[in-house]
Amino acid sequence: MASLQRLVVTVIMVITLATGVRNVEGVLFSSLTRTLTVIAQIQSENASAGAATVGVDSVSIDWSLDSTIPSKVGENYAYVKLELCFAPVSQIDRDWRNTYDDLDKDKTCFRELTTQRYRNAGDSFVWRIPKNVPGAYYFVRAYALTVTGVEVGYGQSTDDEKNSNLIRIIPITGRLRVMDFAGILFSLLSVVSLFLVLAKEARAQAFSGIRIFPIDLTVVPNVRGI
Amino acid sequence: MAPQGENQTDADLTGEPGSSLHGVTGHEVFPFINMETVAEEPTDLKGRKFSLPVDSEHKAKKLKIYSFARPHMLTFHLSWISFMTCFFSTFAAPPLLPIIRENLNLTKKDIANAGIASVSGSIISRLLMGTICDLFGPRYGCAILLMATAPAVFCMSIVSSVDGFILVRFFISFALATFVSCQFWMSSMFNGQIVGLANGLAAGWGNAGGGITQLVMPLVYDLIAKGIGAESFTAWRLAFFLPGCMHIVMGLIVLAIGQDLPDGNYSSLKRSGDKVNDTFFKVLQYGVTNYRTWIFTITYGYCLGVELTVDNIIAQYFYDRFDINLKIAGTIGSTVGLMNIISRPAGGIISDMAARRFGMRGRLWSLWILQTIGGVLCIGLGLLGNLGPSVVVLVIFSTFMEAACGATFGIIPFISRRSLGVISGAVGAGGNAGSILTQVLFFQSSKYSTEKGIMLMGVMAIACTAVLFLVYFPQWGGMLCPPSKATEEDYYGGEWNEAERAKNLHRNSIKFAENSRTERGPSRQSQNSDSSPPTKV
Repeated sequence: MASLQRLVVTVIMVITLATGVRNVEGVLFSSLTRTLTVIAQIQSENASAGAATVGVDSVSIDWSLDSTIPSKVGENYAYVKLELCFAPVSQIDRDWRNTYDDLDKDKTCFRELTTQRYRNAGDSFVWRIPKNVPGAYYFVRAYALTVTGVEVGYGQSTDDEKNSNLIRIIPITGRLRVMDFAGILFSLLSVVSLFLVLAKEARAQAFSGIRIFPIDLTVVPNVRGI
Repeated sequence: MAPQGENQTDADLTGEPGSSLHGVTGHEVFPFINMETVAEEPTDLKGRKFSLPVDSEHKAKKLKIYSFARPHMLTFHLSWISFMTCFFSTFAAPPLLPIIRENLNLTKKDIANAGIASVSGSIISRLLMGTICDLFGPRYGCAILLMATAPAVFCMSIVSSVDGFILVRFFISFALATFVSCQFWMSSMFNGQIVGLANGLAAGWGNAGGGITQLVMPLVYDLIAKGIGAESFTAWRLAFFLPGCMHIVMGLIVLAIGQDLPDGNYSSLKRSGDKVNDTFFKVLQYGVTNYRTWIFTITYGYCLGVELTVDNIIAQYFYDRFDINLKIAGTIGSTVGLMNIISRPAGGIISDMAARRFGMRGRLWSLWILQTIGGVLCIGLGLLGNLGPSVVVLVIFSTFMEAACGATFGIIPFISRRSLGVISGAVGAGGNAGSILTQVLFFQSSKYSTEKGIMLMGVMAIACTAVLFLVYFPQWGGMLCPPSKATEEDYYGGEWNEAERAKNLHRNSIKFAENSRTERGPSRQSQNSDSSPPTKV
């Protein structure tokens, strides 16, 4: 018993210690400087709608070093990572999309689009929107990474308040006509088979002359006593 | 002549705590034959021998878990599997919420509202189910509920708006009333000495459905999304066909091979006219006016209520706070429900052990201790910030909370004999009401983060459990006060008025009072001077 106790305590301590080791804090967003210019546009057959439909439309992204930044800054950059991020209007009342300064904890940018090699002149990328993107307002952010993958600069397709030039994406419902039909069919199967079984049993009882659902709300003493 | 004769016959029937069938039996009642002299093996209506030892009402006296023998053990398994199916479908959405919330564009408030809806529907249905079981039998009650809620489960595949999601979760939760039919069915099939264990096992294994679903649904989703290559927003919808089909299959099985009582179904037994009917309003009156009903409604609201709330929020909490994938979050969440398999029956056993040593006062103290420790651990869960310790504390916390649920139903059968069905229904509904209140107060607005909400839930659990100190049974005492000179007959007989007592309608309550003298605890058993031996012809 005492050895079992010791074992349990040891296990708990090991688990606590193992997960208690904290990682070094990630890079803070507030420490980054905005050095890249990012332009994101919807490529759509239905351009006047102002929104992109998943599975059909694409977003074309052009990024480059900001013209006001000296190109010497760009020597530090090795890669550029493009990410799709939620605009504040889509973060309201949704804790799982909150913005945190620590980039390791930050949930604003939920989808990485691509990572490209850095070039001073910039590059572009066309992102075909997959069907599993939720419907919301987005902007595109580009992080400039060093050779070791640490963020040292950024740019985004919207202003600092993240209110302008937002991209609206229209999602799929996920429903399929076949599935709707199957759901209705199975529901009917359930209800109809229930009625059939109950009717069959009621009819069997009816033949023996007894009503099976007497609803007595009065006191009925035992009538079999002689 | 007739009342005297009835007294002699009924003296042979054992009183059973936990039954609300008012003495239904399949036997022909002959007042002038002593049933105890029947020497041959008891047989069912078809003349076959029972495979378990049975009492004079043909209720089983032993529980053989690995057996599926008709009618007792088969009923046990049908009962807990049906209940498990309903818990499975009610809590099938929470582990998939990280996908559903993106598909339907839900906010935190919407998710909380859906969680509240998922425990509200069963308040109404649990209250009605007791009456339905009384009138039509538990077999019909269980099967009708399963097959009538199946369409709601299939509707989950079709929802495309927030309101639709909330409504569907509301209608699916009607299925949780299977708890009442499950307990009712166990009480019809098992003798008073083991009905507590049978009920605890069936309820515990049924509640485990809330854990099994958190394990299985992400796996099914994964299988559909990666195996078949369906889009994630379609895959979660397809996954809901699993609980829907389980409802249909179990409903049909229950109708096909279930039976209400050891001797057959209600319809065939009504012929003999043995069922003593009580008035619905009288039963309701005595249940509602007993203050203990409301105390246990509050405390159960903070043990089952906490368990239901945690079922709803925990997978999302681990997914969001600790950045783990959906399957692992679901696995961790499932431990809460799965602990039920052992901890709920264990709570019942702890309550029984405490009763053997200290009587009813022991039961009350053991319930208070279990639930308060659960509350303390809940506070701890909210305060911890690391994954490993959180999981450990979660497992231990759910064990204590669920043991408290089991211990509660060790006490409920003794609150009233006449109104047991109403009280069980009210307490069960109270469990759901506690969950609703908790989700509204702590998990709906963005005022509290989820971890703060969990901590406050623990504080409220400890506070609400303290009302147990107010419970007082005149014949057995309370947590702090010793018993008075009142007897069990006074307490249970007091539920019938003079006119009813004159007609001897309270005979089953008196029988029950005699059998409940064990709740006095060992020190007072020897003071038993007024229990009369059953009279024989």
